[in-house]
Amino acid sequence: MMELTKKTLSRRGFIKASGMAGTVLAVGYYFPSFGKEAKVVNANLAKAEGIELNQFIYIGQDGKITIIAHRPEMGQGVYQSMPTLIAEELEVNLDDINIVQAPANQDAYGHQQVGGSSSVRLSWEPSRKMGATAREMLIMAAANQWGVSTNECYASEGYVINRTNKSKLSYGELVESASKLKAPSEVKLKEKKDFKILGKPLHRKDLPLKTNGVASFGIDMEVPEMVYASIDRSPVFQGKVKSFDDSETMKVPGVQKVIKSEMPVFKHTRFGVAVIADNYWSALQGRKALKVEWDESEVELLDNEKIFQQYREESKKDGIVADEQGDVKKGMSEAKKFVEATYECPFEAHSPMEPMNIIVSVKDKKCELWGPIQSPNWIRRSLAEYLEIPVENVTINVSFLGGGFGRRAFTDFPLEGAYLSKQLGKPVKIVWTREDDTTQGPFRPATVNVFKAGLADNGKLIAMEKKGVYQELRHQFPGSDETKVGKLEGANKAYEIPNSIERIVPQNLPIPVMWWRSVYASTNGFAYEAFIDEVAEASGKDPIDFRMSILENESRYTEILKKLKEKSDWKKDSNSGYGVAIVESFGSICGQVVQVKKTDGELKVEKVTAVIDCGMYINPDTIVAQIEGSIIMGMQAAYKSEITFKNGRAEQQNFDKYKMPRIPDTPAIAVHIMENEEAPGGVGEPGLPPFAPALANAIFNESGKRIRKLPFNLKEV
Amino acid sequence: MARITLNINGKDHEVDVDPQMPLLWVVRDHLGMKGSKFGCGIAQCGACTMHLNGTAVRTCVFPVSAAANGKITTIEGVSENNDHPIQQAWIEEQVPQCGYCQSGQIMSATSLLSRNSDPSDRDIDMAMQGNICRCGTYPRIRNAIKKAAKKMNDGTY
Repeated sequence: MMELTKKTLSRRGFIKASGMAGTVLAVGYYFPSFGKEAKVVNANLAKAEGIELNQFIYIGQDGKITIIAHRPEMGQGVYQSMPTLIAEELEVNLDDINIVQAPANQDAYGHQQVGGSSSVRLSWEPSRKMGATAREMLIMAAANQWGVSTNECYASEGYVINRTNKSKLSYGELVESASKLKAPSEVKLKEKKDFKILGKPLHRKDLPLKTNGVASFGIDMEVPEMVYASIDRSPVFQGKVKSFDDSETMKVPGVQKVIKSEMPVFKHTRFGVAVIADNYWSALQGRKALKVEWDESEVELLDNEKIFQQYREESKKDGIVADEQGDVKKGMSEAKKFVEATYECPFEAHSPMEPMNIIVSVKDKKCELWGPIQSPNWIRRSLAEYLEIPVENVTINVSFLGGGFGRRAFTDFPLEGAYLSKQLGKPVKIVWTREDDTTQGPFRPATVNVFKAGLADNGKLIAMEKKGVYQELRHQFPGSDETKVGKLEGANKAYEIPNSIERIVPQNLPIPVMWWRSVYASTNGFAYEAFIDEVAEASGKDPIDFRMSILENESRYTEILKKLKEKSDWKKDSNSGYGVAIVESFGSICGQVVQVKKTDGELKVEKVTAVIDCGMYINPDTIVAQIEGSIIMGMQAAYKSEITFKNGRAEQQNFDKYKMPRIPDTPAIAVHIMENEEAPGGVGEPGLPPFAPALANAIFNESGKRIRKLPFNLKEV
Repeated sequence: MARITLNINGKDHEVDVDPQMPLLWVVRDHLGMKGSKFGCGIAQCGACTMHLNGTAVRTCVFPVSAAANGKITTIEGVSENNDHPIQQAWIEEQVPQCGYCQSGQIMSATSLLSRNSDPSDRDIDMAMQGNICRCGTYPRIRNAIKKAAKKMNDGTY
């Protein structure tokens, strides 16, 4: 039976906890410092050679197998999917292994960040190679013992079996001799047809911890001598503390002290006043009694409508060319028919259900962190730089994450913890209120996208101009090159358009922005696929047929569209509106058909049919869950709520105004996965971008009305 | 401060706290039961849901003094071994993603099934609309509640 360890453990601690006595075969990665490819090594020997590393796979003499989950679990299933990659090649059942969450250690585990739907893509081959290496070493050990060639042996369910006489040895029996072997430099990976657990809808082993209240999230963690903090931060980004009056605060039982706080956010600092108390409730009560006077004299106090007006004005500028095909000027001059449209998307908050929180302890040039974070390596490095201590002095313990969606990848909240702990000289746990979480950002950037298409006489699309006006995330980092821009993520590169140009007019605003599930694909994807629908209309073609006509050489796309047409019963109910969208993002292609229907005068999303091509995959049920969740998060941004600014402040503070989809809003959702042997693509994000445009296109089909600004009111369409 | 006796999951606990402190924080920080979660603090998301005398209450705004004479059930009291039909259905349908809101979802669902053994879609909507899930597990919650109801009616658990 698998034993789940909910607490993070030191290496020494977990070997003890896993009951591993005697010799252990540990296989991991050696990451050379300079450029060379990482090497799979037998850590038992590597250590003797002086290579420092932690390991991914431990096999004990008692037969117990432990596999490290090196990436943070935020709901996307990596806690199990990463070990599954190893277990498949190691030939063990998931029921027979322990999974242990890794601390941050880039030298030992390589890339540990969860974001950009990258986990499976980055680990697909390396993790399997590690599993296969351990398997081959166990086979070698058995072959040596039997005096036969390794070809005479194979591994299955934790045993090496002799093909000829069917005798077998367990991994526990073989581990000691295997641990003395050198890891082979080349191993053969299994083919898809031979997979036993990859590609199967296995139950997630972390879920039983999440149905009985046992799973430990950051907010549930406690460390000795810890104090609690609730921080009143400047409601305006870059505002300063002029003065504060804590006389009433200090009367609240449990309040210990009140001090100024600092949170580094990109090139700037978010200033605040922290109430330190014995428990969270006291800190919160103390904060309510606190009076802070803010200095906003040097800050531009923005209003939402002004921001969008500025963006619309800026869209007249040329901006920076991000991509160019053919000669768009010539293409436009030959065109006979033109389509032009502008699309606008708002700022959004991430709003994970677990409000932001962190525990940090800074003491004697050492720092330890406990909490729900997406970027263990980046946060570890940032803490070391911020505190001016060696990175080896920073220990990062990763808990389960109560959602992330990009917000928890950032370094601001851990650095604020470090600042406070250093001032206080003891561990501090900062818990954000929902109001802090909703109003402080960083937010999804608001965007204005401007499009123009030129069609030939026969309706063929021959030229297109795309222009994005928004804050470039990368420009916020110190030392960034503001003349460089990324491509328009989510703007479909596969469409065959002979002449096209895309430009970005980067914007500077005193509002911090950050990756929000599917990032720019969530905003560009909407604009681009809503626009392609307008082009389809101008060309006089059905939206699916039109897309097929400009994707003739893109069989992965056309297969998705064909499947969508069939599975959605495309336009079969004459009382419904149907809309389609297809967006490639994070290495996968996802198409969706939304069906809307008016009942009792009110428009309702009846059904969403989704088809994803994510290449080879680990767990189909996890894919379905991620697409369902992405669609529902897409609903929020499409027609539920937005963050608006007034006088420099985010106006929505909590779920009463920043409205989330709830169970009655949920339509029927059907998800289909394409089967092929393409390289694995991302799964956590690609399901989000197609929803909003497919919905907008369905509304056009139902009502003749184009939706070009999000969010919109579904009830008023 | 006041001395208050709370009956939680069938066991009495004595606490000495501000009587206005919400039940959630007493249970989490004074009694160390961390299964019930803080989500919004204004009774909008349901992550903090517990039962008071069998009824689902949002404990982030519920003063501890008002719970003194009642029977409180938290997620820890549903079943440690996950053998309640709701928990079984939740696992069979693979409902949780991040899992943070699920304690509250399960408390609302058990409250629903205790008074309605065969809920319709509309009944489920009404009973569960106070619980937000940002991961978007709603389709599975709906299926799991129906499955649990069937299990309870058939006695197949």
